[in-house]
Amino acid sequence: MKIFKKTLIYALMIALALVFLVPLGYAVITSLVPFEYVNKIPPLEVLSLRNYIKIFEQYPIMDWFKNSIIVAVFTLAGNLVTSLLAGYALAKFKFRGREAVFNLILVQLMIPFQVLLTPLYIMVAGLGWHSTNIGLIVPFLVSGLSIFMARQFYKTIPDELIEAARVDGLGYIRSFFHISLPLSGPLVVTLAILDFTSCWNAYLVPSTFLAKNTAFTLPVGLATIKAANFIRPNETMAGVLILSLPVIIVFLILQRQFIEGIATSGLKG
Amino acid sequence: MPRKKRLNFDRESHIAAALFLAPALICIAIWFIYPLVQSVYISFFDFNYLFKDRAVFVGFENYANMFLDSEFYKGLSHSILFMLIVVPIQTFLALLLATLVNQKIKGRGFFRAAYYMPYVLSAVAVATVFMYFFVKDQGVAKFLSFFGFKNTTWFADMNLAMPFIGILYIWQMLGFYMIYYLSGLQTIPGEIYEASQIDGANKIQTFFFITIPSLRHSTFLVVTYGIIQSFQIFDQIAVVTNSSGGPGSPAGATTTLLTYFYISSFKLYKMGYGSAVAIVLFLIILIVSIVQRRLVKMED
Repeated sequence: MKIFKKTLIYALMIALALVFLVPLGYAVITSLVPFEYVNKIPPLEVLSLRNYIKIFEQYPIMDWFKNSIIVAVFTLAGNLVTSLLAGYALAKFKFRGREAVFNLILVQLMIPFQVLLTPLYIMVAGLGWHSTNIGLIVPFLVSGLSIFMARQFYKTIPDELIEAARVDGLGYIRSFFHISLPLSGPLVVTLAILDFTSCWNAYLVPSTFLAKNTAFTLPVGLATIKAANFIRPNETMAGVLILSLPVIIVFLILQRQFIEGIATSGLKG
Repeated sequence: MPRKKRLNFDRESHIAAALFLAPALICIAIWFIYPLVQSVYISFFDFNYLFKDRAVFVGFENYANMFLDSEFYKGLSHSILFMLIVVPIQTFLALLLATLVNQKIKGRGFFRAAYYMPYVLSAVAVATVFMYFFVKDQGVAKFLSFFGFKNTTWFADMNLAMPFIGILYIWQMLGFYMIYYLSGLQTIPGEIYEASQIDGANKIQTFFFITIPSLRHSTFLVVTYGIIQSFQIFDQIAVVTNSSGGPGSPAGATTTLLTYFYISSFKLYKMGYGSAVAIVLFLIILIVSIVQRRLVKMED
């Protein structure tokens, strides 16, 4: 009876896993076959990377890749600087207006981003940043969620540790760099994962701010491949995987941190 | 003497705070507060981006026009309907997945990763792959036709386009909410379960009378966050419709409040009007957030 129940639960879990994994498997296989084998079981010898090569020849994928990397790296770096410093100040410094600043961060968390999209578009276009990487980076160097998470993290560092450093003669600023920053590893990993994936996958803003083909990021590029190439699933799927593989690889390496990161970001309720 | 010392202490911490907060606050002022004010401001203008210098102050006319436009009501009703259907399904399934992967069994890590994986993918990639499954005579469309659904290309069908968006949206978001529930499940102390076993409760009774009530806080998060997120669905719709006439197609079947805003601001360039729509969207989400905060306070 117990074994029967256990088998049943496993069967259910495997069936569910298939629901989540089959689409990915389908994409991988389709991306490797010639057009005539789409939706058929292909013999092994027809598998090749030809669709990938074709996509690389037809579209400026290298440009898209470069843009995606540049935007993700700089946005992430900027976010780490702004949120670590601000989060630490909100958690550990006593100063007038702390409540007000913290409330401002909470307001930013509550406001749906779309409200800002129209004015941001006007600002970015006015600065001549339309269709540039910089237009996707500079407006997004700060994130309310990142600051909030940094604050929550630094709250868990005991005050005694910092006070001990002060007794040793370190000022407020140096005690951050000497004591708290070296302890920030888990926070940095969590923020890096959240910021990197959301930046890498972003579509709304890049598709609105970018008009020039070579300025696209990968998601915007893939959307155009899909629109133009929908009748050739094998080539479109090659595009899907070029976009998805980097995130999947990072995810497989940092699974645990991904999942813990989401769990801590959820504590904001 | 002590008083003076405290003053020094204060001064140092104020300088440090100013330095640490400066980068973030400068960015927030320029890229958050200014556009936010600007958004409200231009919502009172008849402002078309293609004719920038011909902006005319119209007061609340944009807001009034919105409530006279049947397209707006269509978007609003689709958004609400989408939320009412998606949120309960996704909440229930997320709880189911979390319960499954919380068991002490072999391969738990694999299942967690497999269920969570879709969430790390781009909505563009997910929507693209799903479209191929829901084409007439293909994969899922064919399969579901045995259960009474029309064998048709779902995203081109007036009645099935929005359900299609809902399916791929839930598929992608489930893992995220599963993690919320999982961290909730892990905070329930084991003694409660032992006590209920001693009282002779079976597994199902335990689940309904112990687990679900203990997960109140997680459920609350999953539901309120789910509502807010579902109102903001955009990428999936934009990608699915980008070869067939843009967000809303076919014939308004996938129009939501957000696609309505997007088309006003960035297809028709009626940015004054678009901003007014965005502010209405904001007000709706604000109401949800306020209700959420009230309920949290009531519980404390």
